[in-house]
Amino acid sequence: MKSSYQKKIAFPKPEKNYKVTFVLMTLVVMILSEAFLLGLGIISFKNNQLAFYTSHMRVFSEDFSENISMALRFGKSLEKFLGMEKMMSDVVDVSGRIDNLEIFSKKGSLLYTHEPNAVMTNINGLTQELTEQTPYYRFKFHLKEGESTTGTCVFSFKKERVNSAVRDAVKAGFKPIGYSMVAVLVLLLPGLRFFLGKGDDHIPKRRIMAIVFISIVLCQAYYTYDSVRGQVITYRNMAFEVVDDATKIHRDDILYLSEKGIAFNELNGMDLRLKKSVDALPELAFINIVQNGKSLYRWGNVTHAYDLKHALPEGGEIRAGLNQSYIRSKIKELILDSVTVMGLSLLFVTELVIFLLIYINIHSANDENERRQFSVGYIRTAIAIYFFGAMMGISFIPVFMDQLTAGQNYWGLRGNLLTSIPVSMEILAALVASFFAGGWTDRSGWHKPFLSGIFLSIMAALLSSMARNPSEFVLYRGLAGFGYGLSWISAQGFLFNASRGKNLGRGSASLIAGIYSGYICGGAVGGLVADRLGYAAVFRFSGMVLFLSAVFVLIFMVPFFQKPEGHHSKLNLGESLSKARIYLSNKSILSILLFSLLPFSLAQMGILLFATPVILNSLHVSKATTGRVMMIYGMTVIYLGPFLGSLTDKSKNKKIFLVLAGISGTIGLFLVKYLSGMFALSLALFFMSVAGSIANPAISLLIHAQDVTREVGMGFAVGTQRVFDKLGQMLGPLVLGVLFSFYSFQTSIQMLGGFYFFATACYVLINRRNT
Amino acid sequence: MGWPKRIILFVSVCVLMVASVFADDVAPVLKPDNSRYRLAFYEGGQYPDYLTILKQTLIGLMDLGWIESTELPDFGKDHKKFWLWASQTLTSPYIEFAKDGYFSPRDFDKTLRLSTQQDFLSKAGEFDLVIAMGTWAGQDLANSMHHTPVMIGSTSDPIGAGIIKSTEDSGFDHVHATVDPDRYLRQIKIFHEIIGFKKLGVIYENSTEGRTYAAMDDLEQQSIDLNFELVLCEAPFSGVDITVAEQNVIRCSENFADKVDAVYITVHRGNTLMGFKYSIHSFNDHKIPTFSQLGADEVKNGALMSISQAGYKFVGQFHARVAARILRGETPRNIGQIYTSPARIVLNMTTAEKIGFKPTVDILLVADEIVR
Repeated sequence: MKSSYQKKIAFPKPEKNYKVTFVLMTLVVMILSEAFLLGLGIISFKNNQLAFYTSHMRVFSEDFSENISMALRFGKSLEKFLGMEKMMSDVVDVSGRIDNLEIFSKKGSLLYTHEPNAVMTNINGLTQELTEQTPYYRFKFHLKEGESTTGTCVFSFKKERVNSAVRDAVKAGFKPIGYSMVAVLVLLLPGLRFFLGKGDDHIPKRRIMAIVFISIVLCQAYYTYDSVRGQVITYRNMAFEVVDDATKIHRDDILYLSEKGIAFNELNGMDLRLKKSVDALPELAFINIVQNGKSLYRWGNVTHAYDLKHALPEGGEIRAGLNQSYIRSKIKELILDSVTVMGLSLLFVTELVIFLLIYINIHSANDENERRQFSVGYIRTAIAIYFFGAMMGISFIPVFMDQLTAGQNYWGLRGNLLTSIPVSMEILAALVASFFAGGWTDRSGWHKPFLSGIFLSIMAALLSSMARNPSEFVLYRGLAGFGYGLSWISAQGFLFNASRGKNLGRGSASLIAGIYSGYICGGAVGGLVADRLGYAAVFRFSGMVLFLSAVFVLIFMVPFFQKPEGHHSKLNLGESLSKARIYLSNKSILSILLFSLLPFSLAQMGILLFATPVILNSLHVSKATTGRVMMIYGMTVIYLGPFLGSLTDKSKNKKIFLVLAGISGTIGLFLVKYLSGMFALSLALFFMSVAGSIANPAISLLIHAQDVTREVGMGFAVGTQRVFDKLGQMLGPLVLGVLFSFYSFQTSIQMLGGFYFFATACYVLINRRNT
Repeated sequence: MGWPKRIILFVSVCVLMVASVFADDVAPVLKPDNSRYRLAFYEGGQYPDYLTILKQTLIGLMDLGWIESTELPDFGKDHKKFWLWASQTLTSPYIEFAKDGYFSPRDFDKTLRLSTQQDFLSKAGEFDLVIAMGTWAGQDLANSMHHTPVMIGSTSDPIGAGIIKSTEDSGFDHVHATVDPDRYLRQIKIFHEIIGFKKLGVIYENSTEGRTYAAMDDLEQQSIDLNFELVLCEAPFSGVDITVAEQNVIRCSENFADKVDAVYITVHRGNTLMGFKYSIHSFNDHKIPTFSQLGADEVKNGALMSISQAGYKFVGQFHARVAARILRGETPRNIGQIYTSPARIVLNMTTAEKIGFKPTVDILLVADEIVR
């Protein structure tokens, strides 16, 4: 079948020095990938530094607030607290990390400050436990008398403390990156000469890309190993310091009382004070106060002699032991976090390497036809960049909405239902856009709706950063969803039209892989950056990345800016409805959409976005681990998807793949009933991702092959496909939510599996001749 | 007058007005006729606190610049001698301590109370401010028989004693009384929280003044709120010799053995050095925890603990500021009466050991002073 693009597209001949350009681009890709990894690693490092300072502040704040509370109980008043200045000085001196200490009354007026010349805290701006107020980080906690709050205390430490540690980490990070890159480049140097000297026909492109990819992976692996090693050492030191801080507080209390003539055996209730420290600090296993070798007061599980000690008068000692099993578990988490960061970076690298592969394929192609064919692959990079930018806010949109609502009701809604409105509006707007985008693609070409979608997404991102109330935010997310719908449909429409059905399966799987890469990377980066720079900054950064996607399209995909033939009539609602009637009354089409696509999307979103976080939360699994489990889906789609997609291209019988997808998905969902916890969910997600990797390309191929598709237009067909997909995605969480209300988690998921199996069986029955 | 001059005048007036708003409202000033203010002192008896607070008030006035700084002598219990010394020795361009401005019915002598009041009333117009110490003084001067500004301090319960109407309103334009409304409530509550007693012994004089000294209204309220029994022993101290007052206290302390599980030691004339020590000895022998209403001195002499005013320095500063504002022309009734002194927690570990009380580390750390 002739492509509607075939006659009019002119693809430029390759530059003469494309190989040199390619080598330079490869170098840039290596540097970019290392910079990306380093960037993520530094953000993670800074988060760990702040976590350490927060732990440190907590140790001192618990003791300080306890002493204040006791004194208030004994009749002292916060406003006229005899000895307050000394108490504050003692805390600052022992801590060594607190640069200022301020106490505010219940109404927010400053009562005491350790450093009168320091920049005063803006007490109204302290919205969280740890807040940034240049040039300090402010750690706030309440002072209480019994149950009632009597005031607020703020520990301040200079930002420069953390910034200098980050600068040291950046400098330290350059070394392993530098060494590994130099080593890799030296190893690749002989190959470079070979590459530059070879003719275009003899370049082993896949081998070259594999070498490039492996080289980058090795560099990143070495940096990750070095980084993890450093982080483990840092964490161990931090754990020791925090335990030491807690021990020193008790030591100083005992010294103070000893100076007042209190003997060791008069420290009644000392074990309960030790208990508070052990309970508050998970790194602390036990504290033991001994005199002449005999244990006088002790709390915790004394598993070994001790890890640190401080001398006390009269032959006394205070000894503390680290909780090694907790420390080991934290280190394991650190390692997993670093590996996750490396995984994210590899996704980024994968997209860059694929871009390089497309580039080299285009420039070493035999003729214009081949160049055009390879150029189609650019859509993956374009969509990956787009989704990277569009999904940066995905992890915190409900949280941001919660901040804007400030706990109040809106539109008769509150709580989780209210905070889910922006996401729902985004999905709904994308659904609406799907109706328009398909026909627009058919009439005007893919590029207009795609670039329009990017433009709307950019506007939505910038406006979201300026949203002042929930109504505005919901509106802007709707705009974002509309833009997303336009871009996604038009990208798929582009693939349908430009591929001519050849390698459509692989192309479709590749496009989806690019989407997931962008989705996962963007979401993760957005979450990390939001922790440091705030939500508004992430939306602005998202706008910049979206702009890059438009720039990419304008640089590399201009030759595809053509209208497809045959569907240039203006928008006509009657005509669209007529098309819909024709299209949906086709048995094959309807059976695909209703009994394969919709059930798959329903099961996919239900298990991925709803069941997994809910079940893992009930098992007290950390958010980081939940994120890693959910990444299994994306990683499988990205790395296995294109391979499975290519199988659908090669097979004559595409329908069998829909059945196989149904079986795979059903197995995964049923396994949850017989296995438990995280392992069961991981398997379920893996099988569902395999199902998706098989089903999506097959569905695209089957739809593309239908005569009715050409009759109504590729864009229309794609739009309709997306409508059913979005409908399933919307229904998934709702259906599972209802099932969870009545049945156990496992039974609910099993029922979902049963539904997917039933739908697949219906598909088989309707299409039994060819399956 | 030309425009520039008018502008200068206008700006100067504005500056002066603004300056006056921000001017210190306690800075020393002379009387409108450039003469000095005449101060008097009125006390119910030779209670040590009265002189201590007077001295701290004078030090406060020195800090504010009303009096030239100088060391204050110690004349023991002779308050009159101190006042005479002050009238002759203290130098101030703004105030004088009237030589004939000392009024006291000796040492709580009931028979002399009325005549002392009459004596003051006959001369009231000669003074610009009377510093009155104690409940008797407050009761004798808080009336409409004169209009001389009165600043009343060192009273246990000026409202209960009928000196002032409420914490917000003294009831008379010329009267100001320092009041710490919850001070004793806090003490009793904390004592009960630490010891958890069921029967609390209190030695007091059953008179209006005696009840206010002992904070009886607060004790009765707290006994209901905290569900403990008040075991009272009457020990008169007004109109009796000091030794009689002492013996009354000792008698009551002996009575309390086996009847109470804690004692609240209130302000009482009979708690002389001897009277106090004897009764404390008795309480400690019977392992009865004791809480001193007065403060650190009694804890050092054997009471178990006290949560009281952190010295008289802060209340002296408060009185000095009130006096300065009155002398500068403010109506005493319009000046805030509530004063909450910083609390000071004192604990006697020797007593604790004797009676078998083991204070926890929390209490030990919070204590401002631990004595043995």
